[in-house]
Amino acid sequence: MTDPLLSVENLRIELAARSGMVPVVDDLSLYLNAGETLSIVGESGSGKSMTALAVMGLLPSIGQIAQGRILFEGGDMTQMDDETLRTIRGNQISMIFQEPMTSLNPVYTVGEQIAEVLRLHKGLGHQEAWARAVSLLDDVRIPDAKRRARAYPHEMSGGQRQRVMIAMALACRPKILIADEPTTALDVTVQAEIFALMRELSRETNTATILITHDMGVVAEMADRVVVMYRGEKVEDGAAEAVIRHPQHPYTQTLIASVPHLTIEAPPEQEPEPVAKSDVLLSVRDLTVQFPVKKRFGKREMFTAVNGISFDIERGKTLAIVGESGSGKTTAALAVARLVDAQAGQVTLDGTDMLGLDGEALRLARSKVQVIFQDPYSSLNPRLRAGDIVREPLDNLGAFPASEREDRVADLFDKVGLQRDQMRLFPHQFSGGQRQRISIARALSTNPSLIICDEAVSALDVVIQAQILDLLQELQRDLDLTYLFISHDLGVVQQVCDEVAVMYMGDIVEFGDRQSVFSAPKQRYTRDLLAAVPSIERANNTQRERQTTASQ
Amino acid sequence: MAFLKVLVQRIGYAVLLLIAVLVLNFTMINLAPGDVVDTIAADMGGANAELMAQIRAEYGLDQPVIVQLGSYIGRVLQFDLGYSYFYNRPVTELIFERLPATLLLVFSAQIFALVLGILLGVFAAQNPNGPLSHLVTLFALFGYAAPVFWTGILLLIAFSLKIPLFPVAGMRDVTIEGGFFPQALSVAHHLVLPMLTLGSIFIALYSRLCRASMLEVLGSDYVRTAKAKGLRPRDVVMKHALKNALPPVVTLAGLQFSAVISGAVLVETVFSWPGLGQLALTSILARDTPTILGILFFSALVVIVGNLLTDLVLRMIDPRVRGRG
Amino acid sequence: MSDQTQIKARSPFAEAFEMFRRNHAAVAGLVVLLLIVAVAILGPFLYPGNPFDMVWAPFTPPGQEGYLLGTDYLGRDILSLLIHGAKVSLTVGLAAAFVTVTIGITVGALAGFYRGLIEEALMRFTEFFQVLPTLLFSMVIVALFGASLTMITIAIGLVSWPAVARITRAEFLRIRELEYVTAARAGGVRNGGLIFKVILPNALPPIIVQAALMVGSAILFEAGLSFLGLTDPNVASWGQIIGSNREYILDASYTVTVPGVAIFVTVLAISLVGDGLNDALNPKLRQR
Repeated sequence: MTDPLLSVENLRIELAARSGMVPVVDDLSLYLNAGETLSIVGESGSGKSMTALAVMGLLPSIGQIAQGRILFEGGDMTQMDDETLRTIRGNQISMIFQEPMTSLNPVYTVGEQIAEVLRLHKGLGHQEAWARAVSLLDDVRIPDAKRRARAYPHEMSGGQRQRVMIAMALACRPKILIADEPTTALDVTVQAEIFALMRELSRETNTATILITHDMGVVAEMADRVVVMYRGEKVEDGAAEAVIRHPQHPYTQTLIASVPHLTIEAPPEQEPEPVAKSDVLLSVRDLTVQFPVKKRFGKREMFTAVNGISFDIERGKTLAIVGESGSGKTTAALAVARLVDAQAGQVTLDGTDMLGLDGEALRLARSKVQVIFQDPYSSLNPRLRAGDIVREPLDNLGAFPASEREDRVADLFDKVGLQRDQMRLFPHQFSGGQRQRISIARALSTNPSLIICDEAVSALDVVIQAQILDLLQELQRDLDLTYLFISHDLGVVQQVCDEVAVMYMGDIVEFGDRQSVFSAPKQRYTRDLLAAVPSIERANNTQRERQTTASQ
Repeated sequence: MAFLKVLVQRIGYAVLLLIAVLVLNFTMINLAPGDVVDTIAADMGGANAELMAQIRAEYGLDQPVIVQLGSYIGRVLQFDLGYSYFYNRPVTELIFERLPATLLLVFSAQIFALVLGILLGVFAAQNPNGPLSHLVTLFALFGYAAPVFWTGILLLIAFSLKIPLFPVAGMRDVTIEGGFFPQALSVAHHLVLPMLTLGSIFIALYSRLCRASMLEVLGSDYVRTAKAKGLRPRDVVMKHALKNALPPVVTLAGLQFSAVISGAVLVETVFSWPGLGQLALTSILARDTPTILGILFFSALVVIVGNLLTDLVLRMIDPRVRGRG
Repeated sequence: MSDQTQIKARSPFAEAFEMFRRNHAAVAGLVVLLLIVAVAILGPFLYPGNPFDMVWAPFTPPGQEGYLLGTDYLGRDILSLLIHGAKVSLTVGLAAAFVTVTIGITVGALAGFYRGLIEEALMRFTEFFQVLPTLLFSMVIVALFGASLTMITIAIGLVSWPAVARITRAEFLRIRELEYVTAARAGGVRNGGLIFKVILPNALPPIIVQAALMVGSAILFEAGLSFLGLTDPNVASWGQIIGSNREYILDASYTVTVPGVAIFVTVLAISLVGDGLNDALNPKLRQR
């Protein structure tokens, strides 16, 4: 067997903290063979990104390699001087990052940013490098590459920017491509396209890939081998398929169990009869939301975010609205709660015409609908104690007599699984999951008839995400809650909802109960959406097929 | 073409601002106790009521306020800012005589401060805990805290009186004969201390902001990308980081034009620099209202032009600003 | 979980105070500043009499004849002038900063919260004030309306508020988009409550820092005006001492340098405190 292209031996990375040097990666060993895809998987803080940066020699200034070797084609990169390393970086080993929005330099054209690498490492002249950059943009399927090469990053979408990053990374035909969560910031359909592109290009150029991800579904679809990291240490490694099917380490088992993966549902026995809903809590008719957008020449034009949508939710049930960014799902939900103004339509909540309210009547009606927000770090006022955050709606909306509010808050803390003495603490003293529990307690405080969960678990690591989802479902059973659940994550949606509305560019393109939408989607967009989700089961099936064809 | 459109828009807006300045000027004259005629009369050592009424009619002061405002704006737009009874000359003439000196001082100090401030900031950011970085921080503190007229006097004592390197006062040596070059050299020689004095406050401001801005940009994702490409550290800093760190500094410099002119008033007083600031002071002490308001108008014009230039520079640096139109 | 009960509640302000306390330069600045305040308040009692009285021969050098800082061109005791001037500098500085911050926060908060036409109008108004050269404009005000301390304070306040308004507006624009503000609205908080109880407290850190710096610039501003002679001639002030002795720097440079040191040290102390506040209140630095 030949030597691996890259091997990391007993790597230990330390970061400077107040208390001294703290290890973030310890005793990590891994290897990468030419042409294969290795996935490093773990949660945030597991040390997977630090490992990648160490290989690139790009550790932050507070970090250092304390121990170990990084061998690239036999040479130890930890011993090389900066001059030598620079001839490898971007040339033999290149990297793409998680945030396509911020990873490109905003003040240079994308063509220039690609051409720069070619001039640097391949010694091409300006014109040659530019021509090559244009053809690379063409390779990564940027339409009209010749013209778009002159575009600045802010004139491109997130998916296109990531394509530019890939073009830049592959410009010098590197031996290794390191991709650090390259699609986490992108929509699933875009993610699927980017992965397809990466697979194709790396096969063509025989580039070995290190793919860093938190998503086991991605591992299943992309990787040949996998390394699982937990708190800076490798807990398991092996062939991707074997690890996913028979995880040995308990952490890998939890990780795989927590992934809200799509399960393949049996189609309903027969087409469900459209039964009249008996106990409708929320009824939305022809809801339209528009925003003014400032166009050039000072003219105001309207952008239609939500285009006349209608749906009902039954009391005690969960309706999920799924869609990609820009589909209008969040805007629609906030319009129902009157946190965004609707231009037309009707919203009836528990017999109240929500859109007809204004002034004090509207303010008091807010006790009927509460929201759990996405970002646990910005949804709690940093200047208030946790108890006061939960109490804020009670005081302002006069729900519950003043004498009972103290007990009510304490009671809510019990319900969401927080300690009562944590009421005194401030938001920054809680973890992300705990903050989301405070958010839930606040949403429950006024006994609202409808709770809107706006991407309520999207910012959390999968294991915490699973816990919060469990809590939400438990509360729904105990308190007979009704949820309007907004999410981009089909796996999560499938786990919690009774009915699904799929939104695309302001319209509901498909609506139905969970079973029929997930097993037999009627619309092409829904089918594309479902197909784009990296799925462990499907990947296993295709791999099995691949193996059977190979053995024949 | 989009650029021309923006330019026309900006200039139109600048004209509106200038008219607003005129309205303010006019309001202040009308709110202030006593009018021009009282001042003129006082200068003449008293005048009888008849003469005063005659002058009032001559100035249109017997007309309704709104008519007065209209004719005032009309006159100023024809560059007629009135007549100074103190100097016995038209105000416009007085101002045009002094304006070049002030412009020279203001723009040279501003450019000097920007260039040096940016250089210091960039180098300090390379090593945020290094000696140069501390020096910039210290200098920023001192530059801000020292009253500019005091700095000027200290420099004057040190480099004109104790070590006579530079002239004490004025803008050029009148004894020097000859063509443009000797004259320009003499002006430059006189300019050094005033420019250093006025610049010192702003070097402090700009170097501090540039250091902070560079530090932020150096920690950004796209700088990491630039390093990942294998670029030399010099290219990472000068090509990828600096251009992104500049906009806040340029914006701040644009906002400082009014402060630079204010500082220039004090510096001109210290170094007897024959500019608008000196003229302003003497006319204020002489209660020469037309001249004071004329100066206020022209210095507002300088600020507006400065802001316009800043805007254009920002558009050159940052394509995102260009896109906004 | 049981060890969680021991966690002490730490408000963001308590943490900021802790950060400030650890910043030696800022604490030193604060101590110096308190000393100057003490001198301004107690000085006139310890050093009674009219500072404008001629006490000895003009240009008596410092230390001679019992005059610690010497006498100026009119034979006035410079130490006495400085002590009495401290009160003027600090009062004008604080009062002008107060005027500045009041106007600035009001304009900035309304523009940042309400958006639309109100914002447009208020920001144009702010831009207009930024076009006026600050010192010249206040010179004109003082010249036209008289050189009383009140007028000087108002003039400084009138020309300085745009900076505070811009910062306040920027903070309001940023914070109003954060989810906790939407959450508060969903929780039934009225507009007034959103502005003053939810957004403003979170917008305060940079405004506090700016306010501290404003006191410093107001002191410099007042010194500039009085250096030019545009001040109440019956009240001693630091800038005025420098301005009136300016002609004599060749013979008696201490009459100019010493009062300058007083201004310099005071403003330096204030900006050290301002920097300390900035570091302490800056959440980016606080996290680790």
